[in-house]
Amino acid sequence: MKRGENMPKREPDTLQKILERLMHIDPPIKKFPVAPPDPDMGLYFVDLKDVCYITTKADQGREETMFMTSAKEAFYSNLGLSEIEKKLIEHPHFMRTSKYFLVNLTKIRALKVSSARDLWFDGLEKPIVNGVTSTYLADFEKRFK
Amino acid sequence: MTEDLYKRVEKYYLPERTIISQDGEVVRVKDIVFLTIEGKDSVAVSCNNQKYKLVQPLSFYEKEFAGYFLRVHRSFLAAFDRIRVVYERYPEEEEPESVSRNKGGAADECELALRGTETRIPVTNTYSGVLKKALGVSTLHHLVPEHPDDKKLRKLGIIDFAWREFFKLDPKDTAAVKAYADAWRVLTFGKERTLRYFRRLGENQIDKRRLAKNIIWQTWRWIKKGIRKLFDGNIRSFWYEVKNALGGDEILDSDDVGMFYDTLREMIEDERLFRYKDFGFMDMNSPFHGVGKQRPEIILAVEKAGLANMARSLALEAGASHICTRGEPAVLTIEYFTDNLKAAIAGREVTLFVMTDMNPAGVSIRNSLISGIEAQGVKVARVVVLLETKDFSDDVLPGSKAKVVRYEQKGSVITPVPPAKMGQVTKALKWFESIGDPRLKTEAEYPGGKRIVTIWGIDSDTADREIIRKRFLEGLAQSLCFS
Repeated sequence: MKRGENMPKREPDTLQKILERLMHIDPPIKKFPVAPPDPDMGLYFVDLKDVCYITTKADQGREETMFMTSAKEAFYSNLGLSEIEKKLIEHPHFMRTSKYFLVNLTKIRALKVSSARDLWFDGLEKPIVNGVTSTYLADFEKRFK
Repeated sequence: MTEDLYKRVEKYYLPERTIISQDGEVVRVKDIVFLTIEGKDSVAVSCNNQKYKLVQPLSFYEKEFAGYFLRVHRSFLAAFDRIRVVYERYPEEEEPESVSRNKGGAADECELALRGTETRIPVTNTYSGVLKKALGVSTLHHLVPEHPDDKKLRKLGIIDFAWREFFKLDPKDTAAVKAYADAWRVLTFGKERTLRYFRRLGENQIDKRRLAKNIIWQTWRWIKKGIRKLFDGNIRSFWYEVKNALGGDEILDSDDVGMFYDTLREMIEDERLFRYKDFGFMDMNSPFHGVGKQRPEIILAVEKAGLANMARSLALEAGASHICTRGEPAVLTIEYFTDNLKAAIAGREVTLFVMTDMNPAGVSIRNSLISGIEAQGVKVARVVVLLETKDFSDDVLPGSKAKVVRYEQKGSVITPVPPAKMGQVTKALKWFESIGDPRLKTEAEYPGGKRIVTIWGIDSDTADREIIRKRFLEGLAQSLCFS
């Protein structure tokens, strides 16, 4: 920068940060359509703020994706984990942490540092073991500040 | 950037804003579940179900709080963040049934359940597009993408109640089975719950046919899973079980028996969801069929009960299989017969020697038998019709023939003589053409160019049995040469 030139205004960066913070408080997507728990319902929407993690599930005779809430309720979608990841790409709370998990960063209450990371969530006694694998670890640690 | 931020902050601030009621009460927007119209007033309904009469029309709040309240009906704005469930909408007043709606298509009327109220908010077609866009869904009736199994059942109007629990259920765990059955047995739902799942569109009535379908489906599923016994009676035993369970609540009554049987038939014979035999129903025709020991793949089939003994003894003589259909073949009988047959023929194709009445009904019985056997996975490679008109000499025929239809003809105009219907006449004429024996058509002339025409058939039990025996054994010998 030459002498006499004005410093560029930093306002856009600050506004961007404010916007990001607001996005974090008020995410653009708040609910997600899942298979209704009662057959008289057409559609059921799970509140993403209640979801601890999203994982693949195939132990009930079919491939599905399961949303686990802090109230220990499981909800199911036929979308694959990658498709759900795409839909939640702009959601500031959710991130992919392994081949099998999308986690809600705001619901993590504990983690164990080992080669991977085991994650504990609000309301759930059992952790997800190896919830964060090496591929996603750097990004996870960056976002989980 | 500043503009984006401002919009964002404004949206974020919307629930914090207040609305003043006609009585001067201050209501926080975040406490309002929905807005509606009562009389001439706009009304805000809060989460404790308190109502506030508002000053402005709904359109004002729709615009002022765009993004927070969403118009879903001419008279309703819903707090978008509170939407929890989308239900089917069942208008109280009778409405024409929408075909597209049944297919999950354009007609997207539904009801919304919102957090903070028991009241369901109606959504009309006019506003459903905006709602779908806001919710990010392509239909309001079912999840997309839908699992193929779910889709198949939905299209059939079947609910697989609590299938996840069912999948995990251990039939040996009697306590778990009882708990599951107590919770999910359709027959014990009671009227209110039954209405919730099986309500007829546009009426506050149970859709009995859909209910019957679901009872049948559940019964089959439970039998297959091994958590209920097979029926030790016939189809009527099933009906009595259903009627006894639902009659008290006046959900089904004696007049529904035909509907119940027809639903069962439709599920088995048209939709091929399962078989009669899966329910353990007794085969009333079991004395009328059997599988041969030496040549099980050769089947001698007769229509008339009077020919059953002849068929049995002839089949026994040849080591062949036999079946007497006693009219149109019952699917249940064919299931039992073909299961026994399959065990004996080990995948081989079969040859069918068939002796039905020589008339359109006989042709129909023959075709039903062939298609019925093939539907059970047995390939019919060759069909030999045992009865021919040449077996009946001119002096024998008058005693063997029976009227099929009678019609009046003037010029080219044909009028059926009651009780015949035009369809029967058409069918009979087509059959007569295929037979090609002029003796089976007689005509009487009347003045004015009018003719009364009678088409005749031949009863199979009037046939000379020795001719039939000879033809069967010759055909059998030919079959042996082929094989």
